[in-house]
Amino acid sequence: MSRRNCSNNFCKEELDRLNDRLEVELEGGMCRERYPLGSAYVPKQRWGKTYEAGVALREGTVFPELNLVFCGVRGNR
Amino acid sequence: MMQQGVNKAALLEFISTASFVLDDLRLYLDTHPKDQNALDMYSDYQRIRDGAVADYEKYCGPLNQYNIPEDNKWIWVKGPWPWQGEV
Repeated sequence: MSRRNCSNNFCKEELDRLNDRLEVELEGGMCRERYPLGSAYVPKQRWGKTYEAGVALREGTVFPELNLVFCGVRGNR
Repeated sequence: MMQQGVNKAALLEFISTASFVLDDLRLYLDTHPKDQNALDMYSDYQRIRDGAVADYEKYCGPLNQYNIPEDNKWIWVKGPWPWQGEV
């Protein structure tokens, strides 16, 4: 399983690139006009693909789009 | 493991799997209470789980203390105990 999304394993350049892109999107995009500063927002999930039940139990979610690689340990696998 | 032709472990795993799907769909439905796709999938799995639970309780005994058949109380003492290595 790839650990590329684990911040512990992010290389410095990769983090800088992400931060730069975020800055550009924040400054150049509509974020500043549409959303008040100092608040966090969570994009609302929309209905999409679902796993077959056995896979869902094994992966810990019914929704493939929520099956992300988070930091640290991912079960005992 | 086999009891009256029923694979107890497989049935229990089937119930656990369907239960998990329902648990996760319930979380989705907390924030999307009118999402028809989710509601349809929920009722499908509810039906599947209910059937499996009915089978399990018919052949293997009650799954919890609320579903004790009137005519056969206290039957869980007849099943294997946890330390006996089954299910």
